[in-house]
This record gives sequence, structure tokens and C-alpha cells, in this order.
Amino acid sequence: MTDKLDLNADGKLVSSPDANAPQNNEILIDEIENVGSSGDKDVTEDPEQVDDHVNDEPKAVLHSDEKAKEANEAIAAVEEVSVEVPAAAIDADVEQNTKENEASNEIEADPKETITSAEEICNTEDGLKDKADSIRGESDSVADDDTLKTKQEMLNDKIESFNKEIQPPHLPPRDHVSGETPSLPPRGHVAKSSSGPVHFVPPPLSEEMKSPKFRAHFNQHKRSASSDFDLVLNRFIQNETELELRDDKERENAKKGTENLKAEYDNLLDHTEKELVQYDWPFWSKLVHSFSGMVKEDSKKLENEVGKGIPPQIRGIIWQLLTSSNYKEMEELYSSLLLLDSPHEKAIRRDLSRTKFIPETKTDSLFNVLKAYSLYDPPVGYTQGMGFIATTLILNCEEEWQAFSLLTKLLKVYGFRELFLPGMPGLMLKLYQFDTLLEENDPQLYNHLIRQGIRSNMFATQWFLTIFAYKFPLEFVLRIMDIIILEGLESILKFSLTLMMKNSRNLIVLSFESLLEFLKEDLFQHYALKDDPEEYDIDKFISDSLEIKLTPLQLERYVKEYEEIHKLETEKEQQFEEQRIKNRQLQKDLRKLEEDYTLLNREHVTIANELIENRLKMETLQDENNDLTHEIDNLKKTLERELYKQTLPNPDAQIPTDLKADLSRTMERNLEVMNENQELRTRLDELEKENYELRTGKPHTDDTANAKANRLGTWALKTPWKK
Amino acid sequence: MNSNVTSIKLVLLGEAAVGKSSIVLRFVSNDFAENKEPTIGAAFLTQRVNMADHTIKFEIWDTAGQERFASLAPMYYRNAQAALVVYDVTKPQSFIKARHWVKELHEQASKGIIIALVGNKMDLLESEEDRKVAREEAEKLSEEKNLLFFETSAKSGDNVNEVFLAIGEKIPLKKNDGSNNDGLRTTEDGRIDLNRSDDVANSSGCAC
Repeated sequence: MTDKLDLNADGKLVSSPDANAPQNNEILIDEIENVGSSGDKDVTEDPEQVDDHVNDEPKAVLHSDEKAKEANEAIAAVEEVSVEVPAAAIDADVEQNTKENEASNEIEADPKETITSAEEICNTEDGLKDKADSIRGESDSVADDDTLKTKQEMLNDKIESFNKEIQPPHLPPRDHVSGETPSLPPRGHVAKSSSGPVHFVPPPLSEEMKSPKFRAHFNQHKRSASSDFDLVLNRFIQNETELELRDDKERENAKKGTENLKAEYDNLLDHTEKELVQYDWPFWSKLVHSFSGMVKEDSKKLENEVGKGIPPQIRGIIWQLLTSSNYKEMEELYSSLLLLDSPHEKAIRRDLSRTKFIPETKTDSLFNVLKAYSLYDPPVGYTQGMGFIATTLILNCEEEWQAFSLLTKLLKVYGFRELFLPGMPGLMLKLYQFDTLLEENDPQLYNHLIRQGIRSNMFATQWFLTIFAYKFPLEFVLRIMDIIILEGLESILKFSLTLMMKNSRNLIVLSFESLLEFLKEDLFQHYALKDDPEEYDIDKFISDSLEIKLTPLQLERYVKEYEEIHKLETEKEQQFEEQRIKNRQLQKDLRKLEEDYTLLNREHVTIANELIENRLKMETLQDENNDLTHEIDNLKKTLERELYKQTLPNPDAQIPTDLKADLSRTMERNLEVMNENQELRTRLDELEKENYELRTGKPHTDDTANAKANRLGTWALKTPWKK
Repeated sequence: MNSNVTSIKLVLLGEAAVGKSSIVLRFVSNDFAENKEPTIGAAFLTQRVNMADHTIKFEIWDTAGQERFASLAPMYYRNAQAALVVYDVTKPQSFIKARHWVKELHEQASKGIIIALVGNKMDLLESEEDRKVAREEAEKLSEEKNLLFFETSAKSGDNVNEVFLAIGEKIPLKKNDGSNNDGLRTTEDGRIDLNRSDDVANSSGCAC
């Protein structure tokens, strides 16, 4: 129970397992490394907790992948719970330990608060412990798998090498801790919880393990946490995985090819050894014959040695060995592809004739290789830039097909292919990683470039697409390729960053145009030799570049970031495009509607006019109607009156009384006048009689008097009317 | 000298190997290179031209022509005030591509962009039979799409400067002080002209 585990300042895991449990802490190591991987910086803050973790929870080895996966899930679950443990409590616990251990720790916590919180988390911790135990049970049950054992050993080796390299800080013996503070719960999961509350760009491992895709990817990497920190190891594992994925025959032939290459190397060495004293031949011999051992043993040394440059005589052999690209199938494939016609032939020829980088003697070989590849991988076909890469290969391979095979491995296994696919997704990703790394490593320069309107695509595109071959001398490119073949395409970022950072002081004073000029032409001047500006100190450039530490994990994080950003951008673009289409459709609709509208408007006007006319007509009709109604009314009234008159019993009664009175008055008057008339007549008669008498002197006879009376009116001679 | 300089951001587009870089080389250095290297990514060059009463500074983005690089082009033409769409008079395919570029520019580039259609490699026409893109066809396209049109030879230098001069004449004159990266433009009476923010972005050459 005295295993020691610690995290060094870089957050890397260091272990010194003692004799009691040489392997049992393996799962634990993995766990801690996982924590380290999800947040390397944070883990360093609490080395004590990791210690406790080890003290209290020695773990068994996880063997089968399946079990490992299950256990991972469970651990993820445990992690999740432990995240909820109050941070204050954790801090306080740590302080208690710290006091005992006299370790330097900056944690501040109120001791009073601590005790209660510590007790509070006791229960949770116990529960977690149970869970962890059950996981251990499972892992124990699968504890005998030989193949994985070797892998475990490899990891152990790795960890040991870290240990040697990093010199873990001294820690006091931890034995008394558990004895003197029995009230403290086991701390197994607290170490992880320290990384819980912090949010990383990719979610914490516990979150990521929930995604089946991530788990698959994770397991594909054999859960080798070290490979998360080591490009060389990571590359090696990926190449091995690729080899495993080939079918049996191909794998068999690849082994044969490897043997051939080894033999070729030995043969070469026998004949040329004396002339090539400047190289460390024992190292290269070891590399040729037991590369995998060297990777596991000391990848750093490997990187440094390869960084010094692979001897040109064996460069091709080493490249082929590292990529396992030498096998019969590729040779056959190549010769069959050469018989076909490629639609890219014209473009390839045209570019070859105008690319200075390619030696004239090699243009035919290069044409063949590029043509074969364009047939082999139609989506990529031929893209400008590939010629530069293929050139470096052809210059170092005996046979065209070997260069072709190397090229396919670089494109398909190393990820060069994404650089050249339509849309160039790999280029965009590399540019993003480059930007992010530059921002992290030299923020001042990064900001200056941004302010000046310089974007990395303006100068770095050709670096990535041609592995610097577009502007830089062949010798540089070959040395860069050495490292890329050992570590992966990602290493190109190291070289790019070195060029930027070494020239930072020059760049930071320049403005847009001179910046672009400098970035394209003068970056290498930094490595020009003082006495001969045409010559460059390539060794210095490579060693400077190798000082930049990139971890696969870190790069993977940028990939995730980029994918997220890219996804959002694509979505936005898609939305934009959709909106544009919609807009166009809507505009069409609008136009149609407008047309309809004008049409309707016209109709409307006609109808409105009609309406007005009708209204007017109606008004006139109304008037007429009114008149008629009125007339009818009048007529009705008249009729009624007439009818009413008719219905009266005596029409005379209707004669006004004054008429009667008039009548009677008139009758009276008439009577009076008649009477007067009578009187006057009488008088007249008398007067006539008198007159006659006077004239004749005789009394008047009756006869003449009568005749006279007849002339005046007979009716008057009648007796006067009496009333 | 600097008091009367107008910057014009110009981009060259066109199929691979039609002579975009050669046209720029001719214009900028009055030089010609047989078998000029293919452009990877994009290249930036500048050239000043004295007009009647002012100087124009062309800020030229020369883009890669291969189809695969087309996805990189928008960041270069997005803020451009002028574009040369180049084709090869002996390659009908390159004229088809030119049509596409004109269409894309009209759809995606800034509204008032001045486009010159340029048929290059006139030096290859020893007889009319060598010609594969009829002048009339290109003129028709230019009329339809309101383009400037020139037939040039980067090799002999024929008509190359004329393309740029015509663009220079067509670009509306803009007062600025010629130094491009000071971030601020001032008007004649010395005040900062806030309406010129577009120009600042353009002349500082930011393609994004």
C-alpha cells in the first residue's frame, strides 16, 4: 500500500510502483491520466489527493477492452458524483493532509468549516468506494490476458521514463496519514473531482465517455494515456492500428517488406559504413531492427535523433519502415494503375513542367506516381501541392511504387489527404490549429497580425499544402518530412510556429504589405549562416522546432473546437443559403402577388365604378319610387275621401248650412224684390192710370190696363207671394 | 506623392494556367517568366500607377486557379473593388470557367465591383485558327454583364497595362492619404471621416 504516484509540474503522470503491487495500480494510473488529460493543469494543484488516491485504492489491471470500457463508464459515473463534493471540503481535506505532510500547499480553508464538510462528504465517499470496489472486482476477474499485459508493460515503461525524465518532487512518506486521520474518507475520487468544476473546451472526460463515438475512438487508442501526450507514440500506435486493419495477406506481405527493407539496410551499412562516420549508426541499426521497442522506451530520444536528420542513404528505408508501406500489393496496384488513363494527366504534366522544385530527371517518375494516385483516390485526384510532397518521396525511394505506396500512406494514414480534398478541410483545420497555437505561444505577434489584417491563410496555406517545399530549400523539406513521418502531419505546426516565433521581433514592427512579404520570403533568413547567407543552419531550426511541445491531446482539443466552430459556420452558411433561396422564392411570389394585385386592382376599379353607377341608378330609382309612393298615398287618400263621401247617408247634410241660409236669405230677398217689384208695378199701374186719366181725362179701362200688365210678365200679375 | 493616392483592391480569378500570375508579373515588374510556377494559396503584390491627377495603388491578390482552391477564393474577392477574370483564348474550357467566375462575383462579391474580362495568351494566335474563344463571344458576355473586356498577352505585354488603367479610370476617385495601415482616414480639413470605415478595411488589405 505504498505505491507512489505523482503528477509533475506539467501535469504528466509519474509513478513509481513498488514491489507489492507492480500492476495493480494500472487502472488508477489510467484514471489519473485521464484526469490529467481532461485538465492537466488542474491536477497539479492537488498532488496530495492523488497520493491519497493511491494509498487507499490500489487498483487492478484492466485487461479486456470490453471490460475496460465498462469500467470506464462506471468510473465516469463515479466521477460525476464526486464532482458534486463541495470544493471547500476538498480543499479542507487537503489542508489537513498538508499539515501532516509538511508539503507546500497554498490552499486556504477554515478548519472549523472543514471538519463538518469533511464529515458530510464521508458518506458520499463511502458510496463511491463501493462502486469503485465493484469495478475493481470486474477488472480482477479479467486479470489474465497476455497480449494486453505487454501493452501494460509498455505503459509502465512509459511511465517510468516519464519518471526519470521529470524528477518528481519529493514527498514525505504517507503511511501515517491514514492512521492519524481515520475520520477522513478515502480520497480516491476526490482527485478527479478537483477537475470537475472546471470547464474545458472539450467536456471533461467523464462527459466525453458518454458518447459512444468518443469511447470507440478512445479504445481504439488502446487507452494509452501516454500517447495522448506523445506525438511519436501516438503516431506509432496509429500506424500499428492501420497495419492491423489491413487484411492478413497484406499484413503478412508488409512484414515481408519490412524484412526486405531491413536486409537492404544491413546490406547498405556493410558497404558504406566507413564513409559515413558522422552518423550514429548503432542508433539507426537499432531503429531499423527494433523500432517499436524504441518508441516505447524513449520516444524523446528518438525524436531528437531523427531530428538530427535521417542519413540520406537510408532515409527512404526508414520512411518506408516507419509507415509499413513496403508490401507486394502496393507494387501490383501501382503497376496496374499505370496502365490506366487519368483525367488529371494534362494538369499533372502542365504543373510538372513549371515546378522548379522537381528535378528534371524525376519528372517522369513523378508524373507516374501522381497519375497513379489520382486514379487510386478519385475524390482527391490531383491537387497542386501534392507534387511537392511526392517529389520528396521519389527522391528517397529506389522504386516508383515505393514512393507511391509511401504517398498513399501519408495521405490516407497520416491525414495529408484532408489537405487536398475538395473544400480542403484539413488545411482549414491546420490553419485553425496554427492560429490557436500562435495565439497561445506568442499573443503579441498574433494580435499584431490580426490588427494588420493578416490571416494565416494568406501565407501558411502553401506551407501546409507543400510541406514548406513551395518556397524553402529541399534540404529543409526532407528534414521536416523526417519528423512528420515519425510524429505525424501535426508536427508541421511546430515548424510553422518556430518560424513565426523566432521572427517575432522582426514581424511585430511591420505593417500589412511588408508583413506579407516577410512572411513569404524572409522567414528563413533567421537561420541563414552569418558567413554564408545562402546556407542555413537547418539543425538549429529543427532543434528549435522540436522544443515546442505539442500533445495529441491538445491538438485533438483544437480539432474539436474547430469542428464546433466549423459546424456553426456551416450551419450559418446553410441557413444563409436557405434564406437566400427562400428570399428568392418569396421575391418571385411577391412579384406574382404584385401582378395579381394590379390585376385585382384593375378589376376592383371597374367594379367600384360599376358600383357607383349602380348606386346612382339606385338613387334615382329610389327617388322615383318615393314619388310614386307619394302619389299612391295621395291617391289613396283621395280615394279614401271619396269612399268616405260615398258612405255618408244624406249627401245634403253635407251641404253647409250657410248655403241654406244663403238660399233662404236669397229667397227672402227674392221675395222682397218680388214684393217691391209688385208694389212698383202697382204704383206704375196707378201712375199710368193717372197719366191716362190726365191725358184723356177719362178713367182708364180695365182692358188696356190688363194688356199692359201682360207685357210686363204674366207671373208678376199673380198674387204677390207671401211668406 | 502620397497626398493623392487611391488604393484599389483587385483580385485575379480564372482557371489554372491561363496566365493570372503572368499578367500580374507583367504589370508589376514588366517581366515574363516562361513556365511560371503554379500559385498555391494566393500571392499578394502591389503596383502604383500615375493617372492624370492622382496615383492609384493596386493591391493585387493573385489566387490559385485550380478548381480545388476555389473554396479559398471568397476570402480574397470578398472586399475587392475590382476583379480580373482571366481566360486563355486558346482554351474554350477556360472561358466557361470565366463565365462562372463572373456569375459568382456578381452574386457574392461587393455590389459595385468592377470586373474586367481578360482573354490572355494572344501571342499564341499565329493564325485565327488557333483561336478557340471568339472575340465576339467574349464581347457579348461583357456587354451583357457590364464588364470591361481586353485581349492581352502577358508574354508580349500587349494590352496588360491597359486593363489596369481602364479599371483605374472606372474606379470612383476616393480621397485618401495613401498610407494604408494607419487605421484612420481624414477629410481635407483634417477631421476624421467616420464614413470611410469601409475604405480603411479595404485598403488595409484584410481579405477576411
